[in-house]
Amino acid sequence: MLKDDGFIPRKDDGLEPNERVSKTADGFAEDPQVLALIRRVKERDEAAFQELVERYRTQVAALAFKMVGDYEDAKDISQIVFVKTFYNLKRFDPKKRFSTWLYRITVNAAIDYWRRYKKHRHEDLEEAEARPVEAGRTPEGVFLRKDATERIKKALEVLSPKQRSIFVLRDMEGLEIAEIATIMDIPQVTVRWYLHRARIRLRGELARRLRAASAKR
Amino acid sequence: MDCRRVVEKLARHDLAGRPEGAVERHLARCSDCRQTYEELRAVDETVRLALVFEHPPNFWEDFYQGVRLRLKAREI
Repeated sequence: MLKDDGFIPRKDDGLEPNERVSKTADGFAEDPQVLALIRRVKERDEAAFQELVERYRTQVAALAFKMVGDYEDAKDISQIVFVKTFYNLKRFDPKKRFSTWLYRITVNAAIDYWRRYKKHRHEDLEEAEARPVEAGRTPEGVFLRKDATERIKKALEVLSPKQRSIFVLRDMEGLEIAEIATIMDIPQVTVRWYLHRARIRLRGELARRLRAASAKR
Repeated sequence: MDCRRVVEKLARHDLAGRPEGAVERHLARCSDCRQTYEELRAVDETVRLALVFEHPPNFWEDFYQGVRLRLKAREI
C-alpha cells in the first residue's frame, strides 16, 4: 500500500522491500540482514561495515589460517580480505551467496600472500616444535595441535595453490563440491580431480613425515 | 579385489567412516593393506587435529582497527 507521499512504507527493520525475499541462483535465501548491511556499506555507512566485518571475520580468518597455517599471517590476510571486500562490494551480485563470494576473495588473497612470502616461511619442524608452549593452555594439547598444524603446514606446501585451496575448502571447511566449483570458478568434475590428486599427494607426504617422526623417537 | 585397487580406493576417499564391504574384507586378510589403511587414518587424524581454529586470546583485539588503517592507506 502506498502512503500519501508516494513512497512505499518501510517496516522498522531497515530493510528495503527487495531485501526481504531474495534467493540465490541455487535456491538459497540470503539473510535479509546481510543484504541490508551490504546496501548500507555501499552507501559508505561505516557502522554497517564494522558489523559486516564482525559477522564474517571468523569465517575469513579460519579459512586463511587453514590455507597458510599461521595466526599472524591469517590476521594479515583477513584484514586484506575485508579491504578488498569494501572496495569490490559494488561488484557483488546479491543473487549469489555472500559467504561464497567472501570465500573466493579469501582463497585468492591467501594464494597471493602465500606466493609472496613463501620463500621466507621455510622454518624447520624441529624449530617450530622447540618453541615454548602458550601459557594458560594444557601443554600436551597445545603441543599436539601445534605438532599437527606444523606437519599439515609443511605437507600442504607440496600441493599446488589450486590443489591446496580445494583440499582446505572440502576436507577442512567441509564445503560441498558445487560451492567449491563456484568459489574456484571451475567445473565440478575439475574440483573432484584436483581433490583426488591433493588427497593422494598430501596423504603420501604426511605419511612419510609421520614415519620419519616415529623413527626418530 | 587386489592390493593396488584397495590402496587406490583408500587413497581416494574420506576415511572417517568404515571402508566399503570388498575393501573391508580385503583388509581383514591382508596385513600390508591394513598397515597402509592405519597409516592413512593416522594422516587424516593429523589433519583433523589441525582443523581447529584456536586463535590466540588477543587475536581480535585490534582487528577492526587494522582493517581501518589499511583502508585509509588504501592497501589492497
